[in-house]
Amino acid sequence: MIAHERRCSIVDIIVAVLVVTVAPVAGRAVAGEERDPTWIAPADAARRPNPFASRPGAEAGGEKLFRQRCATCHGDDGHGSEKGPALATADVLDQTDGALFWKISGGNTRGGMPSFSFLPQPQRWQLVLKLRELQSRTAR
Amino acid sequence: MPILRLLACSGAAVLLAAIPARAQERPYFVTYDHYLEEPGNLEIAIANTTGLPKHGDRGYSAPWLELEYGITGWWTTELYLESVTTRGYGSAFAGWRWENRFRPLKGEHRVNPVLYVEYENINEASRIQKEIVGSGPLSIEPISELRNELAHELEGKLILSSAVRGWNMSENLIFEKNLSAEEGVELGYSVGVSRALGGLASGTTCYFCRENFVVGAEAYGGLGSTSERGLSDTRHFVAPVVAWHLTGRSTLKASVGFGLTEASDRYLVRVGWAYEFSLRGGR
Repeated sequence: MIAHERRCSIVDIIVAVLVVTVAPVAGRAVAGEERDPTWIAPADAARRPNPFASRPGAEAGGEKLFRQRCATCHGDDGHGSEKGPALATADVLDQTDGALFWKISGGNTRGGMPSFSFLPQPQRWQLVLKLRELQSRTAR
Repeated sequence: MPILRLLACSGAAVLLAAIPARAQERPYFVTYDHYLEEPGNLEIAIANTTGLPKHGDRGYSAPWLELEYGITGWWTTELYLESVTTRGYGSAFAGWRWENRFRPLKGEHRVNPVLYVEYENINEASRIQKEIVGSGPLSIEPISELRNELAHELEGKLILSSAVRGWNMSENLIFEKNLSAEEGVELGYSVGVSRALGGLASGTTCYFCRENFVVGAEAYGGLGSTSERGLSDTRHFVAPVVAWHLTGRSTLKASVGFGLTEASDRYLVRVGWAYEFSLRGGR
């Protein structure tokens, strides 16, 4: 466990690796802008209904969760930002409640979408309710 | 001094330009789960480990600063700066660590693997105990001596983590090689289980409601080394943990670790506070 000598070469290597690898990736890592066509919910997950679809007050919690968890990337109104794609679009909102729940839960690390499985299930369903509210707003 | 001023000004500029982001800080202090930092988000955390040893040995306090950045959805990097104060022996800077976590699989699976690689440039005064490996109690020599004993270490972890019915279950297997000394690879483990307390989220902002709390427990310890087989004289702890999401941006967490073996300190009291914001794009 003991050493009195300095091994600067290790630090040099680390700095070199950091510059060579991190900088280019960080520069093009705004990955949320593009759709991933291979990101499709399995059929059994897509069939799941939202158990809170008609629960009074559940949508208000979804609104709060959306502001806390999603708006930073997808915008307050779901129209997207530099960091994340728009959600208030037909290709998103035409998906079933179960498919949206599956995508919120598991995320897509390659596309930059984090996994939200650490949220209790009812809260993830509340986020689906919020997406439906975006849908009705878009339709108007 | 101009460099320090430049760093301070740069830091202030970054904070002013940053966009607040929701913290998803894990409740554990030692165990890692499979949730990486969101791409473009920076988390600044300060934390402290207070050790209360047995047999009247000197207590210590080891604060550290953590800067965690999400480079991509599958890669998070983190820099640690740590120091230590031992009662009656004074204080010292204990070194820095640079860690990287990689999530190789795209979505959520029954078991989610994460690969962890860390380089440590620390000295023997280090007491934060972000991981416990090998065997033997902590050195009790004065800090003035320990700070001169440098250690360049390479650490790897295999992190396995699952989300099961609202629970998180994480298991970490730790390998550490001291590049500064001829010794074997030291081994360690950490396991954790935790659960968010809330069910349906309320529509209003609240501070003390259940949905803001995550509770759990973790256990961690050393497993000897490739040159010293066996578990004799190893340190092991079990620690309940609690995390409180104070606001959308910050999390406070705490844990008390109870030493389980003769070589372990009696208690390890840990507290930490994390603040997260987005550096790239966003609203």
